[in-house]
Formats: sequence, structure tokens, C-alpha cells
Amino acid sequence: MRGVIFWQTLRHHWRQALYWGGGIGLLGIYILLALPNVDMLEQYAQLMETMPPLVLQAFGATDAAQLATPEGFIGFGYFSYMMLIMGAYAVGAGLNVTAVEEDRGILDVLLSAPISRTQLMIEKILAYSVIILLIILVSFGFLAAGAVFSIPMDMGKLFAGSLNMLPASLTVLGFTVFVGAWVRVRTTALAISAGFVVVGYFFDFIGRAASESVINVLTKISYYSYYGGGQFMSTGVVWGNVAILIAVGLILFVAGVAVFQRRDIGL
Amino acid sequence: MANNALIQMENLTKVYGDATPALDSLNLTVNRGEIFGYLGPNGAGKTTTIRLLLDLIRPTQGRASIFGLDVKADSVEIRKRIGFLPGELNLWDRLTAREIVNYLGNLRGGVDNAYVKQLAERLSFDMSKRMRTYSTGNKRKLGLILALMHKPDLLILDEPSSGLDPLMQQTFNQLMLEAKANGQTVFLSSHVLNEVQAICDRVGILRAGKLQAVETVERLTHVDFRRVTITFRDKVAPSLVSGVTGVTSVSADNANVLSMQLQGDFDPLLKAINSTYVQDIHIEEPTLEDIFLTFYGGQPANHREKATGLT
Repeated sequence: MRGVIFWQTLRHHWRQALYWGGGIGLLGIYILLALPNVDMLEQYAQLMETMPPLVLQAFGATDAAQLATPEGFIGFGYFSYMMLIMGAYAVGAGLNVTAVEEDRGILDVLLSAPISRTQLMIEKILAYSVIILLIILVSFGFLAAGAVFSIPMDMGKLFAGSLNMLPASLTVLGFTVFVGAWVRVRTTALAISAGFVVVGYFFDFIGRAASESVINVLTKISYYSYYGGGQFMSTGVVWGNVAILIAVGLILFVAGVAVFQRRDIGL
Repeated sequence: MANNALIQMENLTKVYGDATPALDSLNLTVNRGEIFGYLGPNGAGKTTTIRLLLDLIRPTQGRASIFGLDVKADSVEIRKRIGFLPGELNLWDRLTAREIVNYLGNLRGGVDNAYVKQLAERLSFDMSKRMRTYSTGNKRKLGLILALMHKPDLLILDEPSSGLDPLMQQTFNQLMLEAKANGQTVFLSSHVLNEVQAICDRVGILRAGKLQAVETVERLTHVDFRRVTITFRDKVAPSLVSGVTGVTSVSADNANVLSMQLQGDFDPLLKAINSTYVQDIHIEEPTLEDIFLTFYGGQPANHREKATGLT
């Protein structure tokens, strides 16, 4: 019956949205509390100006002046790193689409019910996409509450920055779903997907640090570059990047479903 | 296809990574309304056959159909009418049995909660506990409820009674006979031959991926040999009976106990032991195990368990 797996997945995992979203939001509040006032931010930006440009670039800032604003500081200190945590959740969620239940033999029972493999995957992917969105919204809620009590901040930018984690998270989810469908073994899928998240981050980091060399090409194959990291707060939404991340995520979902549709299960 | 055929397998072959086929050119028909026992030792290919029927794995060669529908192309349609119990039931550890039944029941639709409750009562199964707390036997009971709850036209059960105590085994047998009486068809795999003997109409014997025979249980058990165990008062040598017409597989269980397989009349054996003092004669009709072993080359009785892993 349509929708049953979707709702069961949501029912079973909605608390995760609170725990993960709350955890990420609390980290944001911690960073806000470490951000005393605008004057100090300006001093901090002046200090960063004395650093070689590649250090700033490596941390995702093109201009030290970005760091002189609360939004810029949050972009640098919060959004740069929270994507890695969201990536970790997306990997876990992607493994739950098929790899975990296949590894445990649960799929044998689930797929003896009158549902197609495609339906199973689509409903789970949709459910986990919703949970990822909920995590982002909950984390924004915490962050916004923290901002209200600490330092005046553009809430619109903060909300957009939070939502900006969604396309990259969906790309990571899509990658993990594809790998889980392809390699069958949960631990192998976990290793490959975790590698994708971490290596993507470092490709972007190294590529930015060496923006004048050929190594810069690494940023083109890193999901993290399209995410934009801390720069987002000054550049705003780059719709081209959002489209690329969503398109890649969709292609990986479709490829995962196609691979899973064709192969033996549970061996 | 014959009108009465419910499951039909034609030249069904499955080869995994290595070159040895797990299932080799299987041709088998299971008829509507029968209880079909699918026998073989571990690794014979029973579970592979079941997984092919459920479209969990795909055949290397050949095809299978259920209800006249192709198991791959019409898999979803077929699974609406199937109840399945896997050999090892793995489900969500943190959910209670009731939550699992509700979830899988909703996925199927049309499950009668009163019938689920009735099944749980008959199997003495408490549905309120979390999956991880259940013993192997209780997991088996839950698996049976999940397989039976929607009253499917076909039950596919992989080693259904393993882990069930004798009382529950009886309940299971009753449930299967009731299913048959309701017009349902049962395809069950087993290596416990007594359960098959108790409820099955026909039996297929599988070895190393090849079907050895398909017979009615009645016909299989109607073979002309018995196991005879004679207890003498004094010490005797196996040579006392080993040359007797119809006597084979003689073994000395003790200094004064001889076991043998006897084919044909008793008279030559009785004449051969006439000069000795006989304390007891024990005669066993051939069980399905004995018959099963005749398909595997007729190893001596005292080697059976080792050779076949039968329980």
C-alpha cells in the first residue's frame, strides 16, 4: 500500500530530527555566545587580514571584512562545519534506505509484501529527505533563539544559510543510497560514503588554498564547493550551485534505484 | 501449464559467484491446494529456490511462475497472494511484535486484526514485547503470524518448525492442515522429515541443487524394508545373520545386539537365529529419513546424522 513505508520511516525516525537538529543548533548557540560584540569582530577581522590570503581562502572566506559582521562570522564558524555534521546524518540515512536492512536480512520480509523495490526506495528517500529538512529547521530554531538573546542578526540570511545545507545534504544522501544499492555490504558502503563527505570537504579546502594552481580543479568535483560553506552569508544563494547539487542528488537516487532493481538481494 | 499447477518451475538454474550451481535445471510443479514438502540437507538449494520464487534473487537460467504469473515480471501481483516465512526471521529489534504486525499488515492491507489475535492465542504468543527480547521459538511464532495473517492463497515457509517446541509443532501442523482445508497451498522446506511426513501430500527431494525425486508421502513410505534390532542373551557375531537372504547393513550395537536392514520376508532371518536365545526383537517401519537416505546412496543407519545433518 502506498505511503506506508514513508510514514513508518517518519514515525520511526522523527525524534532524530529533534536530537540532530537540537545538537547542531546548540553548537550554533555556543558559537553565538563566543561572539561578544561587533567591535571585537572588527578586531578579529583585522587580525585575519594580517594572515596570508590563502589561509582565508582555505577557510572559505574571500575577504577578511566578511568576518567583521555577525552573519559573516556565523557563516565562517558555523555553516562551514555544520555541513559535515549534516553529511554524517545523510550518510546514516542513506544507509538506512537499503543497506542496513539488507545486511540484517529484514528486506527479505519487507520485500515479501506486495511492494516493488522502486517503491520501497522512493518512499524511504522521501522520508529521509523530509527528516533532513526537519533537522535543518530545528537547528535554525535553536540558532535563531540564540541570536535573539545574543547579538542582532539578519534572520533572513540565517534562515537561508540553514536551508542552504539541504541541497548538499540531499547530494550526500543520494550518493550513499547509490553506494548502498551498489556494494550491498553496509560497512563498505559506510566507509565509501563517509570518505565522500570528508574527501569532498578537503578537496574544497585544498583547492581553495591553491586557487592559482591546477589543484583548484579539485573544487569542481567537491560537493562542498557547490555548497559554498561560510561564503554563503556574503554571496547569498547561488542558484546554479543549488541546481547542480539537486541534479546530482537526483541522478544518484535514480542510479541507486536502477542498480537495486536489477540485482540479487541479501547475498 | 496444467490447470491445477500453482507453482511451476522450468529449467530453473541459479549460479552464484563460483561455477557450482546452487540450483541446477529444476523442473517442479506444485499443485493448487496441496501441502508440498521440499526436502534436502543444508546447502541443497531449498532456500535458493524460495528466494527465486519471491524474486529476491534472479535466475541464471530458466523461469518460474506462480498463479500463472511470471515471478519476476509480476512479482508484486504474486506477493499480494503469498505469505512468507524466512528461514531466519530478522526484523526491527526496537519495535514490538504488535507494531511489526501493524506495519507489515498496513503494507499488505486487508489484514483482519481479530484473526491476528486468534493466531497469537493459538501460538501462545505475547505480541507486546520488543523484537529483541524474543527467543528463537517466539520469533518463529511471530514469523508464522506474519505469514498467515492475510490468509494468503500460497504459503511459502522456509524451515517453519525449527525452534518450535513439540506442542507448538502440533499447533503448526493443525494450522497447515486447516490452511489446506481452506483451499490454500503450502510450499514448505525442511530437513526435519517427521514434520513433512505428518502433513505433506507430496515431497520433493533436493540434493546439491538437483531434484532427486518427487513422490507422494504415501508412496515414498511404502517401501519394502524395515530396520530390525535383535537382542540376544549371549554374545553373537554379525556373521550369524550377514549372509541371510534380504539382510543388509548389519551392525553390532553391543556384544549381544545386532541391527540390520531387512528386505522381504522374515522367515530366512528367523531360521538363521533359531539356535540362539533371543530376548527381544524390535522392528521399525522405514521412516522418511530412511527413504530420504536411499536417494542419497543408502549409508548405514549409524552414519546417517553425520552424513546428512538430519535432525
